[in-house]
Amino acid sequence: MTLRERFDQDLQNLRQSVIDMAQLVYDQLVLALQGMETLEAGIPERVFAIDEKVNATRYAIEARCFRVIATQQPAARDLRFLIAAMNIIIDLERVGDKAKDIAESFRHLQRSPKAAHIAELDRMSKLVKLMLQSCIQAYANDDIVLARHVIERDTELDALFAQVLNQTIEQAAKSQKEKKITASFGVMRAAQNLERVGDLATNVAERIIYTVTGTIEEMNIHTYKADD
Amino acid sequence: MTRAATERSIKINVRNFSFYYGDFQALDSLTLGIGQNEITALIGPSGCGKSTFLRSLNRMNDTIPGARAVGDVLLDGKNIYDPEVDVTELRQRVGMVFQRPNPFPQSIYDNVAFGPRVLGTARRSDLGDLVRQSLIDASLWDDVKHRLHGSALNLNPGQQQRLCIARAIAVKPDVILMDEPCSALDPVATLRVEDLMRELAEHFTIVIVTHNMQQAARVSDQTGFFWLGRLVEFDETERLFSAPREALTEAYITGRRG
Repeated sequence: MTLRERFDQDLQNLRQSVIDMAQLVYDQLVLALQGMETLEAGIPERVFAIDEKVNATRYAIEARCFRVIATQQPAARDLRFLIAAMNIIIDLERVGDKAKDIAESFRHLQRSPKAAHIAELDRMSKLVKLMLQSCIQAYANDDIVLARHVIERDTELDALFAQVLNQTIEQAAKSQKEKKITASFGVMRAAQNLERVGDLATNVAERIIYTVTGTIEEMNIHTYKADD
Repeated sequence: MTRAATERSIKINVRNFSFYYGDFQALDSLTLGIGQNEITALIGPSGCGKSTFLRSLNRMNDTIPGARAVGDVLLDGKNIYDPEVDVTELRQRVGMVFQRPNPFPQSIYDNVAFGPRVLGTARRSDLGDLVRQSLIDASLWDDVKHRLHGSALNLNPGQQQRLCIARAIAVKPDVILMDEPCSALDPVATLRVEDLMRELAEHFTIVIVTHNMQQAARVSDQTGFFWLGRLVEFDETERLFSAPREALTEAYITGRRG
C-alpha cells in the first residue's frame, strides 16, 4: 500500500467512524424520544449511559483528525473533509446532550401524562429523527441534495415548535393545576431541545455541503422579531 | 496576505503565450496577470513547463538553440519579446535567484557590488551604502557586517542564498524570479528565506517556482498550477489550496496525480 493509499484509507476509516458516532447519537435520541412517549422507567439512565460512549468517541475521532492533519498536510477537499469531520462530531455530541436534556424532562412529563401528549410534539419527534437520519445518509454518500433537504425541513420544525409553545402556554394558563403546569413545562423543555437538535442537524448538513462544494451555504438565517 | 482582485495592479500581463523548443511545444497559450508587489507561485510536476515559463519572463531561454516564443509578455505594458528590447536591461529589471545558491568565488562585498559595477548603476561613492542596504534588505547584514571582505563561499547555504538575493536586489529590479530557491536549504533556512520573500514583496514583484506545496501555500498571494505546458488553474492561493475549481488541480495538490 502506498502512503497515499494509506491516507485514503485513513480518511475512509474516519468517515466510517463519524457515521458510527452519528448512528450512536441517533439511537440515543430515539431512545430519549421513546421514553418521552412511553414514560417507561429506566430509559433516562440508558440515555445517559450512551452519552459517555458518545463523548469518548468524539475525542477519539478528534485525535485521529489531528494526527492526519499533522502528518499528511492535507489540502483542498481532504482538508475540508477533516475540518468538517471535526465540526460534525462536536455537533453530534451536542445532539447527545440534547437527548439527555429530553430524558431529564421525563420527571416533569410524568406529573400529567395526559397533558404531556401533544400531537405537534410527536410530529417534531418524527421530523427530527428524519432530519438526523438524512444527515447520516447524506454524509455517507456526499449527497448535497439530501443535505439541502435537511436544511429546508428545519423551517417546518421551527413552525411546529412555535405551535407547541402556544398550545402549552394556553394549556398551562387554563389548567392552573400544578401537575399540568409541570407537565407543560416538560413539554416546552422537550420541544425546545428538539428544535435545537434541528439546528444542529442543519449545521451538519451545511458541513456536508461545504466538504463537497468548498463553500459554506448558511441557510435559514432568522432575524429577531419582537412578535415571535 | 491576499488582496482582493479589484485592488490588484498587474505588473506582468501574459497573453496567449506559447513557447517551443524546436518542434516541442513546452508552453501552450498561457494567459495570466502577475500582480505588482505580489508573490506568485508556480506549481506542477517536473516537466510541466513552470520553469520554462519562469525563465521566459526575463528571456533566459533565448540562448537555447531552436527556442521560440509566440504571444505577448507585457512588463508594465511593453512586450519584452519586441526585437528592440535590450535584454541586459530586461534582466536588470527582472532578476533571478536560482535553486542552488551560486555566489561568485569572491568576497561578500564584491558579490553584491558585482551587478551595480557591471551595469554602472551606482556611483563609486554610493556603492558601499548600496551593498549595505541590499544586505540589510536580504536579512543578511547582521550575519556578515564584520566580514564583508571574507569569501562568500564560507557562508552556510542559507546565508549564501540570501547573499544571492542581496545580489539580485542590488541592481534594483522590479521583479525577482526564484527557481526553487529553498530546495537546497534546511527547514530553518527555508523559513528565513520565506520570511524574507514576504518582506521583499513590499518593494518587488516576486514569481517563485516551487515543488513544495506548503511553501506555495504559506508565502504566495496567487498560485498557478501547470500541467503538460498548460496553465490549468490560476487563482488566489487561499482559494486554490482550499477549494480548487479544477479536478486536476485537486488531484495534484492532494497528491493523487503528478
